[in-house]
Amino acid sequence: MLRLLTPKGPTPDPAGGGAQRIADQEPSLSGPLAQIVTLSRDGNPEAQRTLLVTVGPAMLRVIRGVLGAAHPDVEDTLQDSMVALYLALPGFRGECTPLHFACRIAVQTAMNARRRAGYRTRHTPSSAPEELADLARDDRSPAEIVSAARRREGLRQLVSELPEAQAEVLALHAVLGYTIEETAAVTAAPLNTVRSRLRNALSKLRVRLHSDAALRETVKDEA
Amino acid sequence: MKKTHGGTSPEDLSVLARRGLLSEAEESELERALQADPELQVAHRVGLDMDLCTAVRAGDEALVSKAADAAMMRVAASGLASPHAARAPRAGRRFASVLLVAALVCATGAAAAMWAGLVPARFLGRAASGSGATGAVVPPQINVPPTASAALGAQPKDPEPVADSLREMAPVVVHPSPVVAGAAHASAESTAAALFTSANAARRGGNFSNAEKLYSQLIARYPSSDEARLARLSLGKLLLAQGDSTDAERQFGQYLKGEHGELAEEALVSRAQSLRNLGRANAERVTWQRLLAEHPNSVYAAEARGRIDALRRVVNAPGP
Repeated sequence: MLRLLTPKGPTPDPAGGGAQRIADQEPSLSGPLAQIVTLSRDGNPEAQRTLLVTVGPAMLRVIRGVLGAAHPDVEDTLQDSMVALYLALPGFRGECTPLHFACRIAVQTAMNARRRAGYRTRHTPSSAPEELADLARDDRSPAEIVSAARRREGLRQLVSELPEAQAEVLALHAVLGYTIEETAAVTAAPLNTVRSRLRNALSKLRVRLHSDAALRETVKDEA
Repeated sequence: MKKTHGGTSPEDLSVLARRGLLSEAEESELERALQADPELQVAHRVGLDMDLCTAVRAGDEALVSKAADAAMMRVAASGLASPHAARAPRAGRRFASVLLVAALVCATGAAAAMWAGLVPARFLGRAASGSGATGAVVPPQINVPPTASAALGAQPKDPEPVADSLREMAPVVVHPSPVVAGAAHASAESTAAALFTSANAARRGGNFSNAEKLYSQLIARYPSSDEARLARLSLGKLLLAQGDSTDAERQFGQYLKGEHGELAEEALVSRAQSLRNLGRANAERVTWQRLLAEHPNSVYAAEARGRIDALRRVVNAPGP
């Protein structure tokens, strides 16, 4: 059972009441987050914070996947995604789980951030702390690390270049590991449409990665 | 996209494999599908890469909590916090336009306040620090007016603090800076980073003795740098792998002495392993307990509990 978390510092208008209302209110959605979502939509700040903190780790995972773990915008994009989730919540009808809904918002926000980063020139410190940490903890061989990084970057570039619908399906599948059915539920698209978008995106991913000679070799080696 | 004999598509088999939910028969099916379908093979490989790169890290909980607080403050500052305002998407374009204007007024006001020093930049969270993605948030098409969300996303950028600019420029400073102390600090950081990179490269290349030497040099020359702290962990792991558990344990202990680093969890696990090798059961148990207390959701939690139980059984076992 989820426990409401008290927001720190200034909070939005607590017009929606306190934690006591959880027991009193009939959820319109189902699932473990249903009550939290209902209270959040009613403007309960404790529920809103609880929701953000609960779905936050999954959103962070998505954002890292789309932007790159050491990307300087990860934290800001997470914050943007949370604001977007807050704004989108009133329109959430329970077509998918709240977690999937939040992840979809994170995917789209991260894709937008990445597209913006494409034309924004900015200075990045040569050794970001996260990067240093990655170096310290990564125990794979240098060749494996380089190949994996190239593959991931290939995917990220493609996500920022593909038509949005395809990019979203690719990100949900490759980054989040969603099945076709889950992706269809999250995007509210027919199964066959999702299949077709995914197939198109994967085909382009293969072409992209195979245009890199070194990666082509690693894929062959693993076959 | 053909379905397999079991009725699951190859793409879904790949997803289920990433979640560790495949039966043996399904594993074989996936294997066959991967051999036959180069696109699936690439997708599966990239998916596995992604799983590694997006794994939960120590410190994520604090990051999420901070982002949630900052997001709520942004919403509160925008005037969209009340239930009625939150339902703005249903209220039509006119209302959205009003919200946009209100949010812009709020944003520009906040910017002016920050410039004037009335409101510290940290009040608006990191997004307002000028170092992050503060462009427009464009949430999904679902019931979110792009105008309102864009207005929220358009956070004011505060003037970049001088100290931050220097820190960011540090690695690329070539000409002498008028701020001598800053430049000296920058140079040290740059060298520490270079040493750390070289040491990591040596470690990855299998040149462990050189890696050890470089990590030790880094720790000796720049003991207070971030790199030196991380070097202790890397050096400790190297030593542990080579069987020098005594020195390894010392390095992990040094790492853990300072303020909590983001790799404290890893350091605790490695320290516990060193102590196990040294036969220091009590200290090992205490270390695992500390891991559980400080990182209750750690991926090593199960291992920690297992070891604590095992150590308890050893203590309680009847003597020969």
